Amino acid sequence: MSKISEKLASLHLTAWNLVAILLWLIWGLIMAGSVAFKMGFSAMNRILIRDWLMTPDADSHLLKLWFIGICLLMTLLGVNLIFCSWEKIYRIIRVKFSGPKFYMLIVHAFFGLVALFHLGGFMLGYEQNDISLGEGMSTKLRDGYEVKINAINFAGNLAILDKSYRNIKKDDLNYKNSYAEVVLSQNGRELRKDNIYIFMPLKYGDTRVTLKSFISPVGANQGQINATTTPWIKLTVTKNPVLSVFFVIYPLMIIGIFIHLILTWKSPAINRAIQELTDSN
Amino acid sequence: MLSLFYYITITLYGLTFIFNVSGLKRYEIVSAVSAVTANIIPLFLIFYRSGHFPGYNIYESFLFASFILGCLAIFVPGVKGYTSKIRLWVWIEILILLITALLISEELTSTGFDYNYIYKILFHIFRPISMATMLYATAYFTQFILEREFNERTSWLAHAGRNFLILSTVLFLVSEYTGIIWCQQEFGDFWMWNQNFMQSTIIMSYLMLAFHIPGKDKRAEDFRSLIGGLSGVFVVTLTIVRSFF
Repeated sequence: MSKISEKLASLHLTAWNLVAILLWLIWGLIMAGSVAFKMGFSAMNRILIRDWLMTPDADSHLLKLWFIGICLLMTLLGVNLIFCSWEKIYRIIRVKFSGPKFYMLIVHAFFGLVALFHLGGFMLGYEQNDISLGEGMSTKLRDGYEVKINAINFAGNLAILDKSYRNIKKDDLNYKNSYAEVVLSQNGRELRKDNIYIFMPLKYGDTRVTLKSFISPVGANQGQINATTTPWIKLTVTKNPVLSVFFVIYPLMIIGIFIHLILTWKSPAINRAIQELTDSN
Repeated sequence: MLSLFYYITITLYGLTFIFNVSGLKRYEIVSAVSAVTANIIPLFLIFYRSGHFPGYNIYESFLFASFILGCLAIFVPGVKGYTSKIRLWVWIEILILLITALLISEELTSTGFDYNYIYKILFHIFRPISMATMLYATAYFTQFILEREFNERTSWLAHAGRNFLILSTVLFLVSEYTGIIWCQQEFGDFWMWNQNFMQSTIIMSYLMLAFHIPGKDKRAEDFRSLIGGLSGVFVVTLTIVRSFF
């Protein structure tokens, strides 16, 4: 192997890169907790990261720099993973086959795929968060898609409508009986009509319409809300073409690590040493 | 009532620690079993009062993690010749967890409307279990570093530490996976740019670092054990610091 590829495959690079990722994430953690970046992070969560990156927003420059930084560090980790894995494959084929090492290689491959599909979720498809709609209202989305709310059924205490997620308590909302009848259409053609509940989104291919919360009608103040008020809903519409693959690969990675743990629970070298100690006694 | 059983639990773990230091093995075991049994009572009371699984704030999750740690110390055979020393670290860790939880908050979280959503419950169950397993690994790594020798016997300590650290990683990933499903179903996306998600990724990166320390000599093994051993401390500290913001 050439010197550059040796360095790219080295464990030293992995360790230092992980240190850099850690520090970068700690910086992100501090920013996420700061009031100054609250709006920036909200904007980041509202739409797909690809679209957020393209949006000319002067307030988000530092956040964009931070995001690009973490992507570069992860890319370096990916390159390191590819070179390191290649070296391991070479050794397994040419030098000696080892079951646990082979398993570890598979686990690393799964990790690479998880990271790749995670990034795919940021860059592919579509995302629109916090769409507020009332009964009979509709909203137009990209590619001719349209979401219309036919009916809203709210089983809970109306006083919670303006409360944050954390402040809605057990007896405030019966989420199993609260729903909205939603119609998803494209270019005027109805694709799917269904009742959506919290935890039960409408699914059409890779597109999901998720009911996030029940809110006060936009523009209405507290005094105007009474027993006859029909709440509005807050929706998230996403199209993530890699979501289902991501959900399959992730547990496979966990299972892979677990199998590796079982295979290496008793290290062969330690077993030999213990045997020697037992024999000498 | 809850406070009373909480203090009884701390006292019993304290006694267990004293018996360990004094070398009174039989008393230590009796006291440890009593402490773990007493530990169940406040957990049950939280569940009975709030209706949710005890793991939704520091007070609840540290109490639950202490119970898991106590069970690990009693029921896992450990490394021959080091069981008592490993237990000593575990009792210290449990006392730190319980006293910290007491200093920070003694309040129960009020139950959210989605308290009975299975993936949310699983997320909050696996988190403290993972933390406890990480702290158990810390006990092995600490003992390995203190042995100041690198032979067949002590390398078992480092190896056991590594095993429990990997196990805690598996448990942590399971909690993450259930959390991902929960978020996807409730918020429409499995990832949010906020402190909670950032904290999880930091823990994951730290665990990855602990498994990727290069070198095969004693110095590398020491450093690997130091990073691995600090994982439990790191997670607990991060959880405490985050609770203030």
